[in-house]
Amino acid sequence: MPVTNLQLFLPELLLTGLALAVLLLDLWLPRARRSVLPVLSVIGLLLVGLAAASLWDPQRGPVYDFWNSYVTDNFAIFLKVFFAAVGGLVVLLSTDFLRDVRAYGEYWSLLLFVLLGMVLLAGANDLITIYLAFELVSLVSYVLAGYRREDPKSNEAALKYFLYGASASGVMIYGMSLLYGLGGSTNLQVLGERLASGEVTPLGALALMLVLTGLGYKVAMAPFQAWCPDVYEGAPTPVTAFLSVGPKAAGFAVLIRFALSVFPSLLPQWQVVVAILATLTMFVGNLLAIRQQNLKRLLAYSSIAHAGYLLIGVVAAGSQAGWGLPAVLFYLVAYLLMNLGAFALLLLVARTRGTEEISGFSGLAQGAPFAAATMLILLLSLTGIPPTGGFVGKFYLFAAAIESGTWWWLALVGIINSAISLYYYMNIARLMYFGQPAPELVKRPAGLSVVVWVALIGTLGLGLVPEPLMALARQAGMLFVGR
Amino acid sequence: MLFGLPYTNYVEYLAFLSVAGLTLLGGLGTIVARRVFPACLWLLVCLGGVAGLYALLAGHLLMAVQILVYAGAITVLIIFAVMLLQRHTGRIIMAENQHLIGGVLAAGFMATLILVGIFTTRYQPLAFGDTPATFAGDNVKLIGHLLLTKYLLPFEVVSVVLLASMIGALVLARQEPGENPGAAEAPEAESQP
Amino acid sequence: MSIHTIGVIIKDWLIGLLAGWGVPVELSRLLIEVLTWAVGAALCIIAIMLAALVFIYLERKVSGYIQSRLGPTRCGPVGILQSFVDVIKLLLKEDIVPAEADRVLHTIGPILFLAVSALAYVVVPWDEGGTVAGKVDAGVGVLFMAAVGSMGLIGIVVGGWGSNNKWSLLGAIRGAAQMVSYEIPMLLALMCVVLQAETLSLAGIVEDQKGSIIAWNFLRPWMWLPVVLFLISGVAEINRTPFDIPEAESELVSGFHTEYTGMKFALFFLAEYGNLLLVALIFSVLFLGGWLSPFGYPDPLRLPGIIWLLAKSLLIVLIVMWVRWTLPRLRVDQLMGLAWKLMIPAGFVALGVMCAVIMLGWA
Repeated sequence: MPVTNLQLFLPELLLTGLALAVLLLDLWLPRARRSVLPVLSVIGLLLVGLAAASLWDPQRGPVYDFWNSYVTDNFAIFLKVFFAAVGGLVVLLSTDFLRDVRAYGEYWSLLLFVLLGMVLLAGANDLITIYLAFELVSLVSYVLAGYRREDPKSNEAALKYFLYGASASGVMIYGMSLLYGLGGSTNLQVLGERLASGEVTPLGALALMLVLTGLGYKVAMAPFQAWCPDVYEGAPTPVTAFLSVGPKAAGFAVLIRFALSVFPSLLPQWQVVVAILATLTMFVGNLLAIRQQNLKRLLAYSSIAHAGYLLIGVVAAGSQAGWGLPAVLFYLVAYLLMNLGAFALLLLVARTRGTEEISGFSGLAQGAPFAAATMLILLLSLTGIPPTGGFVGKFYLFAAAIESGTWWWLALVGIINSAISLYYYMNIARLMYFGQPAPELVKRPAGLSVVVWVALIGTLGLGLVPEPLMALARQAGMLFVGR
Repeated sequence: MLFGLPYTNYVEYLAFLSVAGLTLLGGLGTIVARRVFPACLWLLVCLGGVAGLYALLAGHLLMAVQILVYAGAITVLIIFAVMLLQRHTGRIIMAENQHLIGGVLAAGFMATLILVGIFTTRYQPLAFGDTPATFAGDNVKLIGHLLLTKYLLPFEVVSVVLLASMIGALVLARQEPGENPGAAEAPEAESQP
Repeated sequence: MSIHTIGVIIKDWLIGLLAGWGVPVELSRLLIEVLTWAVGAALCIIAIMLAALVFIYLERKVSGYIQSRLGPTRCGPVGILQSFVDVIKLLLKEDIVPAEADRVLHTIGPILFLAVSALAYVVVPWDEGGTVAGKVDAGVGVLFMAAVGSMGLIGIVVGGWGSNNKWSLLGAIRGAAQMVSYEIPMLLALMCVVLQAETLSLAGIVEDQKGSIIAWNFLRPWMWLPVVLFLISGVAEINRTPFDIPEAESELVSGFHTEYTGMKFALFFLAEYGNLLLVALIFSVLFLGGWLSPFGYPDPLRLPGIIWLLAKSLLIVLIVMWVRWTLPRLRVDQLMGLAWKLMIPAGFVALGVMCAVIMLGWA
């Protein structure tokens, strides 16, 4: 169907306009007044989120637009609102850091462009759209990772990210080209129907593996996770925070849509592969995180581990979409809150004490009891201990695994890994409460404080009253239940 | 007719074999050449071979675009970068590979996998029904029409991708007024008040 | 009688001849097809050589008149044999390869340059009915021409790099930067014509201007900006003064061909004049009606189209020579500034105007 209703495309249009407006305003505004840009970005992102949320309709099935290359369904809308929230929080995280950085205005518009790419990924229903949106996300992420040009580590991060990402894109597009050759269409549904009608071909399996590899790189799935720690360490901290949540979530969105639309016929095969990779990812992330001294590196490994937990949900979604998908969506939200909160506190501490090592948190409880308590709650949430959002999220993920029958053992692996992660998360808590006392945090930039509050309230809120969000997540996941 | 096939088929095979051979040769040259500059030229050969393949498939527009974009723009850009680097560093840039065996193994594994996949798959006859490609003559208009209807969204996304990457490249590359230019530049060149 | 009909007659005659010898018609058709291509390719090279012979003499004479000199007078009547003497001189020169140069690259540089220049001739519509080898521009002649033209600088770059001389390298770098930059306004100007004719085929563009001189593109007001842009960027693409920065004698000795002598130098020389003719030909096709006669279609004078095409091209060549001997050379920064700050914006304006014209239905 051709363009039926541009209203459904409103969030994307708003976001594009916002990115361009910020870019142009940066050109016209005098230097002193440029601090209005992040404010404008946050307001704009709020509007984008509202526009996306206004499209929410629990009853409606998917609406295909642009000659079926774009789909608006509750799954996509949920993610669009999620991405708008990611964007808003990251803008708030970045305000302080960017005060003394060159190319001030471009940062905001580049950030908005990445968000646009992610929003497009949420609704992309066509191989070409998926690839292009992915490239939009990737290309701009490389630049953001290298935003501190004077810092060799940042350069290294950008270069590594670029090299790995470019190879991953190449692998993925090769897989897609094979799919096009086999199915004769770039549309996901058409591909799915045509591939399902015949027998499972070796080339089709190969194409699936190639696309999975490409996506695996982007979500830092083991064994394709090697770039992750270096990039996360070298990139500017707000960018790291963004990379650990945004592109990862977008990668999962594509992975889910792709796997469930194109490869219903190969379901058992890819479930095995993803289950094995999920196990590997969890163990690699958690075991390597133990030895890290740099908090950014530690969070990088922890984000690898969390990708592993999320993969459990993806595997489960293959058998029981009604359980797996809501769990993944819920966990993404919980992870966004707790991870960005942790990064905000890291920024606060690094700003006062000038170090991103874990030792910077030493004795935080004496100098800043509130910050330390917040960090403790976030760490508990990351580990998965009640009463936090992380616990409920993990509970749903593991429940989905058990509910799917075949994959119950993934829940066991996840629980073992949570136990491992307890060690390194609580190591930070130990330092905060029993380490050498250090001076209190003198500077508390407004943006960071807002993020910390949001993270704290959100994490506790999700932990205590998970049901409203879970209900929404269930509606978002409804679309794939029929499969 | 010769051995039951029309003569034109033989010409086509000959053309295909030579162009495909050229592509392979170019690709091989690209990775085998140790100096970067000749490697770029081999890459050019490879890309030109691909353009030839498009021409054989009657994708004349694709052929022209392939030459224009890849051979004319991207390779030249790479060569340009190589030349500038050479001028700045004053030494020949070599492509060094410390993981030869690993690389060969990985490439061999991938190649085997793909070849096995290609040759063991039983292909179904496919009607590319939703892309009515007329293989005879002028398919430029058809492609233009498809770009603005069926592929409208990707077409528009491309422009955003290009804009964003342009901004990104500028952010990484530009010199702010007063910023110390790179060590390779003449240091006295920039001394603004 | 157009070239095309002559070609058809020759083909039929050959098929008849081969059929007389017992060759199957299918095979002989194929053979003739291949033969046509070979002859066409040879004609391209010959066209370049002839162009070079004529233009060298012409250039000397033109520069002579502009500078109140006589130009060559000694060889033959009014010096008409000067070019031949030049060629013999170049052929007899020693072929010198610098000791530190990359022998292979040094050799293939000029060959590539000439080959690419000749390749573009394939799509030139000489006359009604098509190009040297029949109808080969496959509806993408404009793009093919632009694509091959953009590859021209590969030869320069390879030669400049292979010489291992800093002047050569600088010249090559400048050449690459210049040609990449000026390709953009050139393509934008091309796009205007393509929009007007609604085809990417050069032959189709000529068809679109069918009629007497008033139907030609250069008389349409919205084409004036593209005309100027194409002429300027065309001159820049072929590295002629005032855009001969890559070989600026006073700064870079001779730029990318500093280290070339004898035949290799002659190849560069040949290709440069070949490119000059090519730009003139394309300009005539795009804006001056190609092989069409100014008096209307069909031509009341019954001259072959190729005569008209060559006459128009010669006019353009003379204008370009006139410019060369009148204007001083631009500085590097002026050159890039002109492309990026003036011509590319102007190109977008031209494209916008063209789109508006089409939307309003004036085209």
